[in-house]
Amino acid sequence: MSNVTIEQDKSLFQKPFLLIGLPLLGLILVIAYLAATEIYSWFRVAAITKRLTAEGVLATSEELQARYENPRSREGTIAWTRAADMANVMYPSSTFEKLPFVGNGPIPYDLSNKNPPSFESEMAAAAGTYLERLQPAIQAIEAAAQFPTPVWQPFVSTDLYLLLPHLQDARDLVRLLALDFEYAVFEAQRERALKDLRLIERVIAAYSDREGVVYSWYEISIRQDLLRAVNSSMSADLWTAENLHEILLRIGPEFYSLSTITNEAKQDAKQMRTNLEKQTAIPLTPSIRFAVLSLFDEDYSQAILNTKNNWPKYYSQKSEDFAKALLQRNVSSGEQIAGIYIRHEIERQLTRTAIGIKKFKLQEVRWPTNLEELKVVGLGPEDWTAVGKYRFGFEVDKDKAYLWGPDTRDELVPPHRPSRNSRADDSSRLVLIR
Amino acid sequence: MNISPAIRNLYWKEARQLLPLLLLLGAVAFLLHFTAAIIHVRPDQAAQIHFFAFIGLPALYAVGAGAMLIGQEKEQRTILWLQTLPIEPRTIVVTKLVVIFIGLLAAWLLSFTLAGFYNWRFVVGMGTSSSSFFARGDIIQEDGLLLTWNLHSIFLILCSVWMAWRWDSVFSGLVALLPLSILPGLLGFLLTVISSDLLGFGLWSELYCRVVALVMLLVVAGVLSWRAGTRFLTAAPTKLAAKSSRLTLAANRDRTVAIVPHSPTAALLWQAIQQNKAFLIGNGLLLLAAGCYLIRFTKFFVADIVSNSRYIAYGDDMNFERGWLFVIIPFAFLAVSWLGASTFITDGLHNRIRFLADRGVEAKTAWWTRHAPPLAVIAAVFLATGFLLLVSFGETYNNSLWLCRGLILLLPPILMIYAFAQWAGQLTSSPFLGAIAAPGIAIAALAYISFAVTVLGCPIWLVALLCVFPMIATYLAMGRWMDRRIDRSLWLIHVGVAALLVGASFLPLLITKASVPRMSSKHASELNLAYRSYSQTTSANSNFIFEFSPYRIGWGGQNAPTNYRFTPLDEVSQQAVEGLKQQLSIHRGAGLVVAATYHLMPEATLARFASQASPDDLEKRQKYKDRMSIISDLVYRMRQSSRLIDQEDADRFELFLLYELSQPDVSSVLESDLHRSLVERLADKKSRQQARIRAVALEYGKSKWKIEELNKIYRAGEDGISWRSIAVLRSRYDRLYEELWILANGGKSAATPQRLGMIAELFNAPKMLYGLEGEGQFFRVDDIDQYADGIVSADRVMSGGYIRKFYARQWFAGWEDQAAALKTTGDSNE
Repeated sequence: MSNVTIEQDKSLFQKPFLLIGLPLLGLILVIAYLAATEIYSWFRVAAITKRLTAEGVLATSEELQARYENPRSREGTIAWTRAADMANVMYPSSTFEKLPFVGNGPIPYDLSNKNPPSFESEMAAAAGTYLERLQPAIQAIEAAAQFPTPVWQPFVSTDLYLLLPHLQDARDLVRLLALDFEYAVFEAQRERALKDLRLIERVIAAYSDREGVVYSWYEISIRQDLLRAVNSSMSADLWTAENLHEILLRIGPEFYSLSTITNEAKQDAKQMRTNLEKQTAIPLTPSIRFAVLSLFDEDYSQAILNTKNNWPKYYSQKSEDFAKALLQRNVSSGEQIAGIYIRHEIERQLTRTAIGIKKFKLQEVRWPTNLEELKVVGLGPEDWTAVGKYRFGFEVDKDKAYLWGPDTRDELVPPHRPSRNSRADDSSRLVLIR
Repeated sequence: MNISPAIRNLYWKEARQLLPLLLLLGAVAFLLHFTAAIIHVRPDQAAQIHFFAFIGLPALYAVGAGAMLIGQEKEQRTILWLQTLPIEPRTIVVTKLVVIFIGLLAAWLLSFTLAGFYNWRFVVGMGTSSSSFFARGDIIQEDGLLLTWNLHSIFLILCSVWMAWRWDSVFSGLVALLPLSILPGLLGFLLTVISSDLLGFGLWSELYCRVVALVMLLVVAGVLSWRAGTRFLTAAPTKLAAKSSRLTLAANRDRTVAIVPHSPTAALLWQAIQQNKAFLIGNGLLLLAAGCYLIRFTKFFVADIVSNSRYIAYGDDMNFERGWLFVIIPFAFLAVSWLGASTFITDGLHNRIRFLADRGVEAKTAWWTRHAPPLAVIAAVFLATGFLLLVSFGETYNNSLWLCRGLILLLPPILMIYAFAQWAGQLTSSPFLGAIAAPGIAIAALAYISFAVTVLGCPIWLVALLCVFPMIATYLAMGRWMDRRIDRSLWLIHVGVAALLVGASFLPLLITKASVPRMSSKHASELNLAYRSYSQTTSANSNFIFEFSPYRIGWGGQNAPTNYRFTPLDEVSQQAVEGLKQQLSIHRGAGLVVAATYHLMPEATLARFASQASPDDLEKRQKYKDRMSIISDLVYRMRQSSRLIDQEDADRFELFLLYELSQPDVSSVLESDLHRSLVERLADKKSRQQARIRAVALEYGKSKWKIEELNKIYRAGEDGISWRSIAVLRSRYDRLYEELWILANGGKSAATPQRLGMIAELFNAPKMLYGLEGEGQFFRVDDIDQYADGIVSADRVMSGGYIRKFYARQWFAGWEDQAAALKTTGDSNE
């Protein structure tokens, strides 16, 4: 032991309080800070929720039900239900879409062909038998169409995730009418076709429910059925100038506008509360709620404005931010909403332009050399320029004219007429006009 | 081969020495299997727990074997005695290795036995995929896991032996084993990359590379463990004795460091740190490595959330990351357990703690100074991980803040593991056994906590409280433990606290059971009596499914080819009707319908329109008659069913019949005989009521103890529900059936708004569906002309399947009187 020297070790291990106290204190401080932010967020969430609820933005299932019920007429409820019941005999909609009757063949097909292939005529005959059998359903729609709109439908908001059966009914009704319209065009029954168009408009008016984005999307899909039917009729030699004028009116005004989108976005927020409560992937601490609510509250209109300015890149925008990603998972984002409206608007513009071309042909007895000439039939650049930026493609080939819009995959208008292989492939937005 | 008695005794000694390890691991594996069998998790999750318990037992044995046979002997210094025996060092090394490998076989045997206890087919079928209980068994065959796992276990054994010879401290050897254990994986990966990417050997599969890597490392580990063993045992005994004592070692040096305590507490903390320094640093680094990996994994998770797609999460990259997760999580778990165990086990070694007790150190001071260092390590790792998280997510600062919050959520489970693991320190005096027992106790505690939450329905706040119990136990027992009074009182404290912990976890369940309302005994006995009476006259599987699905016959269809020939709807519809007629003639008993059969109703309405449009067309008239007659027959069969949902469907079909029979001129289309029979059946209130009474009694009796029935109505979750939730739901369910029973028996007079409202409430259904509030008149049919809830819409039934399960919506409403009035009108007309 004689060699032992006593010295003071100055290493960190000689300072136990420092060694142990610092990390413990550090962690306690971090936890205290996070706890404080959670408490602060809790109060802020309560305040924002209170304000948004007072503004009528955040609603519960019951409030949603009340909003649905209040402005609706009960007079036509029974009549529309009876009509929907009968239209429902078409069996599941998935079956309907696979049916190979008229309108489901390769489009644009040549409706004026004097010798249609036996297959097509067989399909038309079968569709005719089917439609004859369903005439009582169409008559029921006519009877229901007399009542004031919008109509209260038996819909109970038991669960915001539930399918919306009353809007499914509307789709069944419109599909039946669209089929009847196509068949009437095929058989050159002009009045029947026009009647179907008028009834489709009444169905939309009766069932129209703009109480949120999902609801409006149903209406858009119904309107899309209408636009497709009208587009396909452009290749038939059926319409007079007056008919075309009427159809142009029935296509309806612009469905999309900044105010519409903003309003829809706000409506959609009604579901946010429920959706957020139901999602289980991430624990919803007050701070996360606060971040999501704040983002929604402050950035929504801005996001929509950006969407409008930056189109067509909206679909490729993905948020890098966790809170925003969470928001987008539970509520449709401004970009998503705008995207759907914009796509519908392009379809509407395309149909208007196609009708304009047909009208020009009837009026001037020749095809227009370019779209600018459509001004003589009352159309303007706002009709043939997709959302004010991309001019539609147009080509005349002997006795046919072709109109096409931006491709749905890249939202760019192809310089040359695109080809189309099947009905399922509607990405090219190609319309044949004869 | 002749084995001398001395060697035989040596083998026996080694075997006895190994036995506690096998028993301990067997107990942990048993507990895991047992937990997997009783906790409420999905079957595939339970299968995973079984599977990992099965393959985990031999692997854990491999980790502990070396430390058990060599480390413990060094710790207790019996190795010195062994060395003095006239036995060749090589023989001692061989003996230990042979016993360890026999022990590995025993561990596999034990694991098979325990697994077979839960599923004997697994043992017989060697985990084929047909054995659903061990669904993961197929991995063994597909990935060659059985081969690589065993090779890896042998590698671990050799490493643990090497480390045990090499290191003086058992802990240090165990900690050092962890990084070594991932070497085969790394080398296998490296070989795969070299062979496929650099050398282009396409035939070198990943499995082949793993096996080659394992064999190479086995040779190296074998040589190293052999050399370490023989070298250690051939060294001079005095040198060994000196080496095994740190104090002697320190004395042999020329210098020692003096303790400069600023205060008694500081001195105690200093002593606690010094005593476990290597251990704290080793486990701290291990935990930090896990934290670093967590950051890497989190990047994938965030990418998944942000991209809002599942692509990344299920890509090859993510599978690779998940593979690592299975390595990192056990490492982190072990590190936390050992940090917990470090609080007391080194103090227990050779009664070191007595040194403090003899000098009057207070129990509470000793207690918290033992806890402070490991807790500080956990805190430091958390801070460091948080800091690294902030740095690594620098570009998206917001995300890193969220993740830091998420990181804090990991703290409670870590503290829980720590709290239970520290208990092991006072329960065992051997550091080695403590090191093995601590993770075992933590696993058992986690299993019990998950049982308490998922099965007993323990609230989270109580779970947090339960985790404090082990800390209370060691605190209360600290004084006696310091004095080394390991007597009955000390064990009473530990057992008492454990009993309190278990008791407290049962409290919420007991309180709930005592407080929920019950069905009145009068109605309960009535229902039971009725069930017994009806069940004697009803065979269990008498229901036949009647189906009318034209679209299935071939009208359209999902996969219609492009050259598909259109079959007219009439033709297909008629085929379906004929099919249904045939079903009704063959199967005479009770029946039920699927939602698609609702399509029969619009079919009938359209047939009526067609017939009314051509009154002379007998074929069209017959079609309408056929459909109406079939619908009436279906109702008759549905009324015989013991299920309430069939009574509900029968109500819907009868509403349709009433609607059709109320139409003008329908009697002339149907002709008098059929019209009369349809009206008579529809007007039969008594049969309808009897059918409902019978269905309520039978359904309640059959489903009385079935949790699935509660789930059907209350959608309590697929993963199973806790006993506490069951108690609450059972109460609701009983009261619901009590109300349905009263309603079914009481008829119209019992159908008061209060009762209907109560039924709606007990179903969690909107009251409007029961004719109350809002536009209730459109949903509960007092007047058939006002019924608007899709009388015939099959799409509506299918999309609203959830609403379809709210029973008794139409029971004894006005439509039943309207149906009865049809008969009266018909009779008076005649």
